Amino acid sequence: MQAIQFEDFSYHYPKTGTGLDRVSLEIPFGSFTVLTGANGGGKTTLCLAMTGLVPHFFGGSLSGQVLVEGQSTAGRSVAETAGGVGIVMEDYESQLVSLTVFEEIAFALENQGLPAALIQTRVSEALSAVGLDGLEQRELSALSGGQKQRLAVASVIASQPKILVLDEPASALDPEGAEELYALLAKLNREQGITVIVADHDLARALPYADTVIVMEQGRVALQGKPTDVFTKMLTDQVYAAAVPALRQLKGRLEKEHPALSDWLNVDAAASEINALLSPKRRLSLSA
Amino acid sequence: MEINKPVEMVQVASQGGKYRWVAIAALLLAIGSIMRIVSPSFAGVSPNWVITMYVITLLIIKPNISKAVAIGLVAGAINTFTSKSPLPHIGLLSEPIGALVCVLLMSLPFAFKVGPVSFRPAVIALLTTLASGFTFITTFKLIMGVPMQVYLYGMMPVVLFTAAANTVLTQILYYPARKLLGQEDDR
Amino acid sequence: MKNLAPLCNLLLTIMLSVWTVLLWNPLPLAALLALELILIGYAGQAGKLARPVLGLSLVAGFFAVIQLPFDVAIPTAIASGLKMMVMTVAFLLLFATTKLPGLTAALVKQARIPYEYAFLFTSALRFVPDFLAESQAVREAQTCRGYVPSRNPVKRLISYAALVEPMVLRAISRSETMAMSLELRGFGSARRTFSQQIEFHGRDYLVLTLLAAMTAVVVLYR
Repeated sequence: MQAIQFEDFSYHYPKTGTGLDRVSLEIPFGSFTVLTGANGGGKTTLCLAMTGLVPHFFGGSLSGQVLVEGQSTAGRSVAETAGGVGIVMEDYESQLVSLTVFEEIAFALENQGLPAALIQTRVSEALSAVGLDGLEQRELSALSGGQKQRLAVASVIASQPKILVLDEPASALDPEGAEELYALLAKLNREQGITVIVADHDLARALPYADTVIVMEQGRVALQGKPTDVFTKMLTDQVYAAAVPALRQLKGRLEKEHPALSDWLNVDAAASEINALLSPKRRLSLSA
Repeated sequence: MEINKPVEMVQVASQGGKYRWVAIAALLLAIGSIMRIVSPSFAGVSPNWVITMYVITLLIIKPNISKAVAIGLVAGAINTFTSKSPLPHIGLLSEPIGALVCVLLMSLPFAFKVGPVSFRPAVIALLTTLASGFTFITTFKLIMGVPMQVYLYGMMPVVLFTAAANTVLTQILYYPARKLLGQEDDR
Repeated sequence: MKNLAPLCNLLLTIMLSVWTVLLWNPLPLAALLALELILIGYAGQAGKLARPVLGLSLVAGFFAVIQLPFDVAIPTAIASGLKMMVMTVAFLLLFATTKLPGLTAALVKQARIPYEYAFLFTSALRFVPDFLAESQAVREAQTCRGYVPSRNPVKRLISYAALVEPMVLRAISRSETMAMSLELRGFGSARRTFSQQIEFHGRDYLVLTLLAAMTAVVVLYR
């Protein structure tokens, strides 16, 4: 069984008629997937389809199916599907509806009818998982943008979903904030085994963590696979090529002369390999 | 592979509308209560933004009578909580009555059209504000024992001018909001 | 009041208002006001509430004075000023001593208010700071554009509405995300529990008894 599986899934929004076009995908449990593509390529729709909001919330027409933990989203309510997959939406501030941090995280748990004692435990566990320990009684208005986003993550993982979807989570963050967020997602992925799916137009941020890249174009899956393979394809086939991280573009060019370079996951790895290739005289000090 | 074969599409009905009304009401009532605090007055007349916002909310979500009255009650409660004016909790009575008048007017089959323009939002805002305003000042008079002259010449004009300001605001703000939601003409 | 059940605090506030409506004599009204001020001090809210109470007493004093030219007897004028004070301070006291999540839980579980409306109340308050920040941006934009107010108040009102319009439209778009969030998190489920402590204890029943006794006294001897 896969965490998420799209079986020849097509979907059209009722008003605009656009959406997804014959998407087939398999996202295994425990993976870290980056979903990329130009605006309007279908990233958000794909995220929403994983939660059942597409089609239940919007209506519209569809064919094929989406399976979350082996169950078709079509036959279950959005809330039922949400027990297995949590989502942090791009406008995460509007996702938050309570006055205090505690109330926000407890919201879904209370709706599920969990006993008060269990809710207490779950809330403090979720807060410590996102690094907001002890802020239970803090009012939402006293949190920074980055903290609000972590709260949105905490309120989702408190229901203990196996899958976490984030739509453009870094769009409102500064570079340091984005880096911290990805480090947090990687930790959740590694330590709690949560399957992470992030939609992001910037691939450089996700490069050190992602094991799968999916490129969307006009509602279709243009490319999917391991980052290295997908980046190569993006460059050779010119599919959303501008989004390939600068490091990978450089690697792509070097590989025409020096094939079989290792996976450059960060600047240091790249620098040492470039240095090794260069003659001793021309070695650069590239370490970051 | 039969890639070029057109796919059979199944229609799915939208269920998203179930709690959209709560979201719209919460956000618009929040705007109403902050505008009540920050809005300037116009030649001494302060619009009542809380009423303006719940009238727009009710026009958009078209609730039944009990839901409308409950939204009015919540508007009054928010007002009690955020307003620093004396006796704001009379709003717990006057806003449900305003909302009731609003939803009853909405059920009437009048378009209030002048040429191509419908003044339905304006007319509804005017009468809703009058109903709420008169309930407020009359209750205030009964509780506080205000002299009749103060009631007639001090309080009534405030209600009339506020109603006029709300009429203008609601007419201007309602149509863009409805257009964004892609709602069809009311009737 | 911080140690009382939320619903008990709410009943206290309501009963203070009811007694105030019934009373027309300055002395008992002044006693109620004194009781409220003692409760404020006892709850440790004196610092926080000093300014609003002071501002309110100015308004109430003004309200009492402007009645005098209209042949209103002095005690009646004083009584009406006190009534305004007592009723408004009762609500200040409630909101200063009772946390909203607890009050919401009490309204739903004990007073049987449908959860949707209690939620509407708290979630609207949740967005107040957001829109306050947004309205400041609106005002700054207005100053930047060198906005010259027209002398005609109607024209001023119309141009002000145009400034508020983007805020309303943003609220409408945000409502879509919020509605999705509600759907995802099982809003409206019949199984809902509350993690707030709202049960009545001995002291709450004691307060309720005192409220009933006090009401009887007010009704009999007003």
